[in-house]
Amino acid sequence: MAHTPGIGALLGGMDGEDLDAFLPGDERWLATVMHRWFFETGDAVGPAGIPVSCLARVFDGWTGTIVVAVDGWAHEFAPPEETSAIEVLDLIVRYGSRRGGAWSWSMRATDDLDNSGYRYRGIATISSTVPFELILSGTTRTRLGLLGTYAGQLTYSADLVFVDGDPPDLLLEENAERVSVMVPSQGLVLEGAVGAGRGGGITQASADVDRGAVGLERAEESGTVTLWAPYDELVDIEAELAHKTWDVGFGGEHSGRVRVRGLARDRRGPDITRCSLSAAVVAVSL
Amino acid sequence: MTVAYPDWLPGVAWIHARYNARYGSRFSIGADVVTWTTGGFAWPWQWFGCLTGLPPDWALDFDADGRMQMTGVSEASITATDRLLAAFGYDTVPGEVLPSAMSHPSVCPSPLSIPLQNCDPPERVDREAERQFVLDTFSRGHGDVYGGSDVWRFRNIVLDRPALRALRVGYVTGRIMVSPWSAYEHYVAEAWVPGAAGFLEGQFLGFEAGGWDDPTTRLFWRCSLLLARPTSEE
Repeated sequence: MAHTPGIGALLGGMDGEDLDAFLPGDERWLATVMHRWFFETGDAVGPAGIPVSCLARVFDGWTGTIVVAVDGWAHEFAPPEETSAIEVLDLIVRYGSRRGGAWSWSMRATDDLDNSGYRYRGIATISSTVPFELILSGTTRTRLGLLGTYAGQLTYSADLVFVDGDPPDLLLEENAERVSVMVPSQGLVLEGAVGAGRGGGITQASADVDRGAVGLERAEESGTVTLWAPYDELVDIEAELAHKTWDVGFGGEHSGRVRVRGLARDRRGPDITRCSLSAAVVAVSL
Repeated sequence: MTVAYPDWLPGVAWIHARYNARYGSRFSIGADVVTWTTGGFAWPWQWFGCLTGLPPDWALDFDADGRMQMTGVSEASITATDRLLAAFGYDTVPGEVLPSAMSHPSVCPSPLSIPLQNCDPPERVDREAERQFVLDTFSRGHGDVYGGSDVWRFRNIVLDRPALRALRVGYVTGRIMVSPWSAYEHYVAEAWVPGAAGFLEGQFLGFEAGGWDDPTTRLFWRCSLLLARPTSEE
């Protein structure tokens, strides 16, 4: 039977290992695939087939400054004292784009197993269509893993994965290092936890003349972050997530800030090692 | 590549709000200080008339997609003294200097001119039939906020993420306009009339609950908007 050739395709997993839809040869979750198919028009930043969704821990102690320069036009700024790698990358890209070119950042998992044997830890890449310069200092430099000298190129990748030596969480004393950015190898989805303003109804409509929109309210809103990955990776991600605040990034953009309230592994079938991880979250203000 | 900043989609309809002189009043083109001279409020297409101190060889204009353009015959840097430049869609922080160039286009949607990817024609809300409005009036205890005004609902308002970011600045407040025309089209149009085929101007009451078109990518937000306007105005 004849059919019209498509401009894209939905691909199902064929190996019997999992019922989710993957691309052959590289396990990526369908949503990620669709996102890239719809919204990416050029070559991917970094190697092809990398996950583009990630979680970045929001924590304090960000110090130092970032200088972004294009063609000698520099702008220096300091990230908030409490923030996440995603938010800082967003700031770099925004400040950079005002000096010229189209900018983007992306996050991928480490290529090699790190010292702890995990692949999901994030490495950032910052790209622009014009050569640019980056100068970082303080903990911002070490936390982003951008330890080198960056000038005159279109793309810079971090040297190190995002880890820091903060005192371990009381609940997780076995983990001496806290992972700051995680890239689940089979993707993640954030449902609910909108965190955007919503109408308070006619009753609560009142004008804030200085900056607030009428009737817009910041309300606590619950949601779920679901993560897919091989079992061992999920177990480690579960330990990292704990009761922390995380920024969620999709496709090189900050998509929401959530606080983890609870975690559950949802089994898929009789094999206990086949599961996904669900984190009950609430949206928190940016 | 991944979604590159500053990419954003021009609207098929727009939410326009008025600039409040309290937000900020100056920026510099080279050494020339451009000052906002008018008190009170101004729609986007009235902005250019509110500014003085523009260098003689520089001009301000809108692009057809709603983007603002500052162009001159020689290169100059632009310094954002306060939040005025950010309100035009330049996404600057106070004190930031934009590199020397002969043309400076805005880089994101203005927080006062929000592009919409979709907007259904307005429907008049039946305040007696919709229980929530009766309950709101009841719980308020002292009448409706806008008395006997009609409340209009715009369904299927769709915003992309840059538009949402602009919205969250919080300048969409008070008297707004939901319009099929960009700031540029309002700026150049001589004869446009309010009504069903055109814009609707009124008091912004707020957005009703919405959701992401695709929660896995969170690129487009769909919601509805409530607007109040006196019954006598059609």
